[in-house]
Amino acid sequence: MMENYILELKNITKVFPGVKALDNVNFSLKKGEVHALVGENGAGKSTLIKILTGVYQPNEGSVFVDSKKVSLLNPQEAFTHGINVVHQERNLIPTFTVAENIMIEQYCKKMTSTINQKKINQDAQKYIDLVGLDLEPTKNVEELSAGKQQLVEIAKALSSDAKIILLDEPTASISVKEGEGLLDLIRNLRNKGVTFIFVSHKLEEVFNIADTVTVLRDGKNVKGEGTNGIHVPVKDLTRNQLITMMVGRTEEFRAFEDRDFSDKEVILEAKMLRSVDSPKPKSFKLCKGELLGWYGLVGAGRTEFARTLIGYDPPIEGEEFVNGKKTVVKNIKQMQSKHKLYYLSENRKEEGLFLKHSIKANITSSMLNKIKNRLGMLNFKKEQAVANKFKEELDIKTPSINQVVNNLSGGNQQKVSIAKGLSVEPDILIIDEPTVGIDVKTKAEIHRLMRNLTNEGKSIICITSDMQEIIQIADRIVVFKAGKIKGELKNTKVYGEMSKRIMKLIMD
Amino acid sequence: MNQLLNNVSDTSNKKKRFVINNTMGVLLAMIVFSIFVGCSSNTFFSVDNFIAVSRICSITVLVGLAQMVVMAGGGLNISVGAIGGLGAVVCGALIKRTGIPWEFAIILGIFIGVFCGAINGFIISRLGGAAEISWLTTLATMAVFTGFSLGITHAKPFYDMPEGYDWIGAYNIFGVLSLMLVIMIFFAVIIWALFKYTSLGRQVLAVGGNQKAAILSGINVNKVLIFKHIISGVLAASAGILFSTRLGAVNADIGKVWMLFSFAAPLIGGTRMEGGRVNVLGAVLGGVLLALVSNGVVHMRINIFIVEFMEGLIILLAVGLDRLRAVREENLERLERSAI
Amino acid sequence: MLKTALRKILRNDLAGITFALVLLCTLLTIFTDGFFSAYNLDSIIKDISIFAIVGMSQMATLGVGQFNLAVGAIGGCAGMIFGALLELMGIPYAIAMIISLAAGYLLGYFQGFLIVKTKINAFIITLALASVYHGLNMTATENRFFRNIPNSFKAIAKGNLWGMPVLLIFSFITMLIFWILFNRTVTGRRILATGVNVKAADYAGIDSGSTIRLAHGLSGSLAALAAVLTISKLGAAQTSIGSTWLLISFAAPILGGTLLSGGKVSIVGTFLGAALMTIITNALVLVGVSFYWFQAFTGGILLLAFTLNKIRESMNTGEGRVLIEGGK
Repeated sequence: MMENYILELKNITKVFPGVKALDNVNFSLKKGEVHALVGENGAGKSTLIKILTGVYQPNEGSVFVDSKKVSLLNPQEAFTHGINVVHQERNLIPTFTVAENIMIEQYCKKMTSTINQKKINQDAQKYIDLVGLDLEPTKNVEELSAGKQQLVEIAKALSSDAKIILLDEPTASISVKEGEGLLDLIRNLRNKGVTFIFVSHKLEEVFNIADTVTVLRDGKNVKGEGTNGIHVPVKDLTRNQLITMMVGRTEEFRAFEDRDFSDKEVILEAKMLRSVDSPKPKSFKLCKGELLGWYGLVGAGRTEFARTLIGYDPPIEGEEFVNGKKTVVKNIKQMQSKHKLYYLSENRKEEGLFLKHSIKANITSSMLNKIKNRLGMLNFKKEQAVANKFKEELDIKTPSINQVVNNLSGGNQQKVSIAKGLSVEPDILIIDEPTVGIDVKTKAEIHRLMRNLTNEGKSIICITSDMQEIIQIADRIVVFKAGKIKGELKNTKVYGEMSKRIMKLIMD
Repeated sequence: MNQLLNNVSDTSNKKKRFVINNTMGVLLAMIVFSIFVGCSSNTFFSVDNFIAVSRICSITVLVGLAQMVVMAGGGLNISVGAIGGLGAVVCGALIKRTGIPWEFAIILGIFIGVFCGAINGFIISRLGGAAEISWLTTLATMAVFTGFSLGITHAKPFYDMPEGYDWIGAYNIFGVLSLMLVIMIFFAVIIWALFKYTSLGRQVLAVGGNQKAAILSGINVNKVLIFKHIISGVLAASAGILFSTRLGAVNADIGKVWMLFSFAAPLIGGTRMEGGRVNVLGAVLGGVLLALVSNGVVHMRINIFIVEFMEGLIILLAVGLDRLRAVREENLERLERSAI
Repeated sequence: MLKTALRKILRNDLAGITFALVLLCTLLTIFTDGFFSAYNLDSIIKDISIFAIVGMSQMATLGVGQFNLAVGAIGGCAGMIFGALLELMGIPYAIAMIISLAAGYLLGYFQGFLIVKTKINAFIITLALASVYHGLNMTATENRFFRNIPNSFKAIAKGNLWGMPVLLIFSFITMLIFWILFNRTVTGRRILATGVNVKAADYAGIDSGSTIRLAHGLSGSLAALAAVLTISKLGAAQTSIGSTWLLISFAAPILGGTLLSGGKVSIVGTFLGAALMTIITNALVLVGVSFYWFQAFTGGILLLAFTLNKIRESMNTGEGRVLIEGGK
């Protein structure tokens, strides 16, 4: 059985402190196919990609290109082996033209070579046409839409004779029309012999253009139903089968008990609310003591909407009601102190924590007013007490609360971030991606914590892209797509049913 | 509203707009200012004054280009003045203390620029290459280079330079075109060609535009860093030597105040601090504007110290206007998106 | 073994620099005649006192993660204002000092205001303003000297109190105030939080804008204080005050452990950093190095300081991390 494998990853294991991201994963890519890599958030997709592109090195296992073993120690090495990536973020020089970006490797080889602008434009034109871009090679990249920029990156990959082009969530940040154009292009190029790895959340795309699918779940390969292979030909797969492979049923799926909120007061409400970064009007309600889930894919607009509610990006139209009273949203401080609304950012490192400071300082950073005495001096005893209280309550694993937060594991950092939010005793908490990159045990602890908080009377909005998580913990689920709210579901906590209903809302 | 949106997102090239806006802006400022000064002084619009201004701007432009080259790649060079001083000092010392002909001394002085630039580039790359690193490193090397200048001269100037040396700074082609100006234009054209026609120039711009993407495209960022600092050093040293030919003497004070207007010229001309894009013509015009200002102030009998004040103000205005433009474009883009 | 010892010294900011200082002083005492004389020590301490304040001026803005290139210019302006108040208006020096410090605060506050409002890089704003302030200073005063400084004021720089030079007492009091500010007050905590991460500060409900303005204002006040004390020492107010401060304003805090990236300051470290710089310069004099090479040495030390800072930063964040494990 001499398969023409252009790329093989065998028995790849990758471990991070506290987390086994990939567990004995295999991946084989045939020449000239479009191979989809699919899986939930946290399934291990991005880790696998990082290994493929030389960003990470596996703890165990090997990579083979054209049946030859290779070690990809950095992105350049991956590139020399013909592995080109088009990331979710653009890697183009914004101040250069399309042609200058496409041909950049060619004319940057030697310091002393001269630039023949005409030749660059001419050479680039070939690739511009190949990807179906209808524009001048002299157009500046920064003026192009995200979709067109992406095509430029693909053209760039083609110009360097890429063996494999890896597309990471290519239609995530582009318009629907451009997305369709992109899929057509991939089909075209595949027919011309280019090999693609295609990573996407959007199952309809997978069925649209992929030849083969590999599914990852919890860091492991998932066998195809009825086929027993880990690389499943798409033509042999139904939509439901794929969903089952992706989201599956896990032994430990244990959801919280149902709670009824039909007669509870509405503590937070938005009516046709829109802002600069969240321009489509949205409406929803949050009941007191409820754990409301906001589900959506990357780019669905949930974080932007949260930023509107909390005053970071104040609303320009529509109404917001807190505790039944119409609220004029001015800034974060006002919403925090006056309306007891606190937001925990998804990027805890960039936006949530003060990495150089101690746990103690981080936890109290939002409530400094409460631990000061008359002269504006900090009461260290109080600070210590607050920090210790949360250390106990949240079980933050650290030898001391003076420990610098940067040195903590992801899970503990997240706990500090949550403690910071809880320290101001908010009534409403919006938590954005609470358990991303966190080990299973801590994840469960955080879920339990959120549940307990709501039992005590607090109301929580949990923003997450983790299907399993949201079905486990949420009382109700609001589904977002492309900046709009597609629908709202009462959570029956029955996995198979809920996941299908949610996906249906998204894919409609 | 729609028409407004169309105007922003139409095919008009942002790059072209950028060049035109800034160049026009500077030209306008130059014209307005000149007229203003010309009204209050009748010696301003004279051939002699033209020559005087051309001499001043030959220095301001060279120094501005020295900074611009580094800015293009996303960094800074605080030591441009110090390198200028050291280049002149070494040249002067060689002439005065050894017997070598002044032509050689000049070449060696320019080599000091290469040397200092290489040191800058090397240290910055070793310390990580970030923009703050470049500014702090060159702050330190500025002190080191100035120190060397002081050490070599013992704070005493070199007088009585050879005739040929002085001639460079004094000669006017056809009686109207100062040689200094011609030399400056020569360098400016080279720099323009560097960015337009050479791979190195593009690599510098690529690193400034998006360092990550540049690395992924196979560009050796450290190499680029060192080269751009070497070019900067050469320009700076040349400016220092050129200045001393006009001065007729060499002292360690040369370049002491150059740091500020080294930024002024490129910033006024539209080159941005973050890099990725240069406007050579803009920087040249910016240097000319600065020269006009310092010259004009004398003609208007205003306190000479006002020049420094104005330079700072001009930078603030130029950068501020630039920022306003960027904000306006950002807002228009946002409006576009929310209308979808 | 040496490596771990080195690491420990680097990590503990104060230990490292204290060690260097002690070593240097010891060597100088042994190998030179002049170092340990009363006259020399007195002179050094007075210089250190003023430079420490200059260093703290920069440290204040480094606390919010920004640079202040106008430290010298603001000092110069405030100094000339002080001189003018004394000579032209005959105001008692205590009041003139207060006015000067207020002027320094305003000049700095304006800087911070521009930075927050325009969102332009602090580097450009402070660079440009340094020129604006200095140019204004020179123009307004026409580069004159104010020499009519009352003897009682000059006595500040010359005199001793409780066995220490008065200048040193000023320095210590300033250090105390700022130590309290940064370590014990809510405001100080807010400044440092903004310095670590502006976005996180915003999300935590800290008004990063007013914090930045405040930090620059404080920086200006300190620059003004340093200028006023310099005038006492010189016996005259002149526009050149502050023109040489740029380098030392950075060297002192960095050597002392203040991080360039913001969020972490060391008041004692800044003092020790100023001490190190001053004593090194003193050493050069005593050893007989030509005065003209001093700048070269200062620059070299500064480079060393940056290298140390880089190592320290990487020890604080990326490499060398110790991961505290959650239970598995």
